[in-house]
This record gives sequence, structure tokens and C-alpha cells, in this order.
Amino acid sequence: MDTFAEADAPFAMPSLMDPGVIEDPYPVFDRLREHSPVHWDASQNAWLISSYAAVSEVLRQPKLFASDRATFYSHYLPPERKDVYDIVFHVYPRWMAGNDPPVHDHMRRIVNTNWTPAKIGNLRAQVRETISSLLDALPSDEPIDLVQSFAVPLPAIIISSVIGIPPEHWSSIKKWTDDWGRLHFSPGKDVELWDKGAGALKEFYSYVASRLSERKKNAGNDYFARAIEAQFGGDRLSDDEITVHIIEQLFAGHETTTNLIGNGMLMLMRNRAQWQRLCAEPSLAASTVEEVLRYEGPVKMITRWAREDYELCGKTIRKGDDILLLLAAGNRDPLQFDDPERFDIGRSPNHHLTFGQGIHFCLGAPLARLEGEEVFRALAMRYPHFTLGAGEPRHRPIMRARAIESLQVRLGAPV
Amino acid sequence: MAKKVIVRVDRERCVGAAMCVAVAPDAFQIDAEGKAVVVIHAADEVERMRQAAEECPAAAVILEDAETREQVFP
Repeated sequence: MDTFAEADAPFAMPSLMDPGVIEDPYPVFDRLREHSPVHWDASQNAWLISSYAAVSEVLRQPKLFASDRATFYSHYLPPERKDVYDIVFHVYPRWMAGNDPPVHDHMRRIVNTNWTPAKIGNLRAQVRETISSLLDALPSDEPIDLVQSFAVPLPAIIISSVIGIPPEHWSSIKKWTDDWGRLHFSPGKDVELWDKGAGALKEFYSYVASRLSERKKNAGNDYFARAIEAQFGGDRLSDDEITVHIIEQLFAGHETTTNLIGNGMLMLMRNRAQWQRLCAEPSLAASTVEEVLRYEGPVKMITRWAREDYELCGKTIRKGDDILLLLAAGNRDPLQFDDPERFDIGRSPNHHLTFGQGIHFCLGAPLARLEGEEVFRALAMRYPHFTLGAGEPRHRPIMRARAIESLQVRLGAPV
Repeated sequence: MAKKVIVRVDRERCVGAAMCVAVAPDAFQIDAEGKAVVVIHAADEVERMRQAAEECPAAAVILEDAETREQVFP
């Protein structure tokens, strides 16, 4: 008999960092969603929200459920370092994903036009060519690590090219985003974490600011130039806002896409009938992307905090409470998706939560979709004999992201 | 380009990004479900409606030529 059947029976939630939960979070997410879709987790000091409807309800009310990060992170700042970390508190007030209206809206409205499906669609040929040349360089008859040799470089090359960063600078950008990311996603009072993270952000800021200043002196045709010219109703971005915006796009524009590719190919290999279906009908590549995003999306959870007390699913969220929206749990909600445990590359409709909802809906979604579609199509058309190598891929022990460190594969004889 | 367009929102695709509202707050509003609704019937400010449709990250704003009823965007 299911002991969790009663509404107020205690639900024992394992840690989100528990190795079993990292490897396969879905059984825990399912139990949580069924028994306590709005659940206070004392170890996270946050509400865990796991049903599609409740996640949606939070995301569509940005006035009540804030994204503001500067205030949030100031709680974690080690007091002895207050003045050293100026850069962090200079960046966050301009970080689009970490702001609420009106600041967020001011920035989003100006930059959005460069990221629309139509504009991003112009990159299709370039994305296709980049995929082709990466694949051309890979051996088809030996084991390779798809993550390191393909899923990592592809989005890095594309976002560098879109923004206008010379390829030889990418390794610095990657280091800065890695070091900054550790602080950004898991703030604590650890002084080393702050030193490293803030140090990286300072260098990153300096680099982008100097490229911006160069572009202002010498006209060009890259994203820096478009950001300088961009306007909405007469409003433009300040130099500071452009600098932070470009940092944010470089930060956001690669790891998530890497994980879309890695998680996707792992799912297609584990569900070989779906892979065969894709090989027979490559036009399913776009809906394959959506199903990968739903079933094994790169982002397991995002955060908000409550500006006011709020009643949600019979629970009282208090003003100031932190909230973890478990997108990956909502994506398997049977109230939203028929037969949610079935990985079906033709699933329609498929309104997953992975790009979010509401005003913060992922700015890069059209680019991620384009890259994913072209990758799955190219691999299916070129390497239908694609197989997984030996060994179980391990998932990275990180709360926010659903990521595998490596994926041993054999491309197989090309057709 | 059409002289007048009929504007509609595909509520299935709509994610409530509200870029349409930003471009044309007189034509679009966000409802209680967090999705966009069109509050005018047909528009002769075709350029502005086209901008609203283009800005949608989910390509959920559909424009039809008011005379021929052909879809003109996306």
C-alpha cells in the first residue's frame, strides 16, 4: 500500500545532489509531483515545485515571483569581501535573466529583434556547414567521445561567430564562463568560490568592454554593432548594458546546447526504434528536438523568489521564500502530457517547460532549436549506423543542469 | 504587402513572452492564463503588426491578408 497517499503524510525527499537522484531524478520527481507538488525542502531552504500547472502559475506572474538576483546574492556575500566584489554587483543589475520589469523589459525589448525565429533562420546554412566540417574531421570507424569532439565545439563555434568573437579567444571565454558559472549557480559563503568567480567575471567584463569600445571606434557588422544600434521606441542600451548582455549571451549560449545534443543522442540510442524512425524520416528532426527538451532537457530547474505571501496548491509560500521550479518534473506531468514516460519524437502538442514561459522565455530558443534540428538531421542522414560505445554515461553532479560528461559512440559507416 | 491584416494568436504555441504586447499594447494583451489575446479585429498598420509577429519567440502571432485570407506571416 502506498504510504504517501494521504495529503499530509510526510514525504521523505532525498537530496537533489544524492548520486542516485543525479543519475536518474525522474522517479523522485514523479513521487514529489504526485504527493507534494509544492513542497518545502529544508535542506535546500526552498520550495520545490514540480507540477506543470504550478510551475506555469509561478512563471506567468513575474511581479509576484521575482528573478532579481542582486538582492538575492547579497545574502551570500562574505562580509570581509564586500568591496572586492564590486563587479558582481555591477553586473547583476544588468543581467537580463536576473532582473524583473521594468529593468528586464527595457533590455529584452531592445535586444529581442536579433534573436527572433526569422533572424536566426538566416543562420541555417552556416550551422549546417559547421556541422558538416566537424563531422568530416571525425573517424567513423573508431570510438569517439561525441560530447568533447562534437557537442562542445559546435555551439561554441556558432555563438562565437554570432556574437563576433575570434575563435582563438574561445578558450578564455570558456574558462571565464566555467569559473563564473560555479558562483552564479551555487552561491555560498565560500571565499574561494567568490574570489575565483568574481575574478573571472572581472576579466570577462574587461575583455567584452574593450571589444565594444573598439567596435564603437571602427564600424563593423557583428553583434556588437547591432547591439550598439538596437533601439526600441527610441530607447537604446548603455555601454554597460551591452557589455553585460554580451557576457550573458556568451555564458548562456553553449553548455545548454551541448547538453541538448548529448542528452538527445543518448535518448535516441536508448530508444533505437525512435532513432530508426528519425533515419527513415529526417523531417522529424525539429520535433525530435522538442521531445529531447521535454524528456531529458538540459535544464532541470530554475529559480525565483516570492515578493509576497502566496497560496499555491494549498501551501502558503511566504514573502522572501526561495523557489526551485523543477522543469524536468513538470515535463513529465501526466495532466499535461499523454503517456509522459514515452519518448516519442513525433509527440504533438509538446509544450514543454524547458525554455521557460512568460517574459523570461529563453532568448536563445530559436538558435538552440536550429542547432538541435540540424544536428539530429545530419547525424540521422549521414550516420544511421550510429551506436553507443561501452560504459554507462555518467551525469554531472550538478543540480541545475542535466549533463553527461562524455558519450562514447561509434559513428558507423556513412551513407 | 497586404493593405489590411487579420491578426490572431496561436494559443497552443504562445508562451506568454509578451513581445507582441510590447510592440503593440493596443492590439495585444496577456490574459489570466498568461497567454496573448488579440483585442482588435483587423489592422491597417500592417508594418506594426508585422513587427509584433516577427518579435514573437514562439512564432505564435499569425497574420492573414484580410482580403484573400492567405497567411502572410510566418
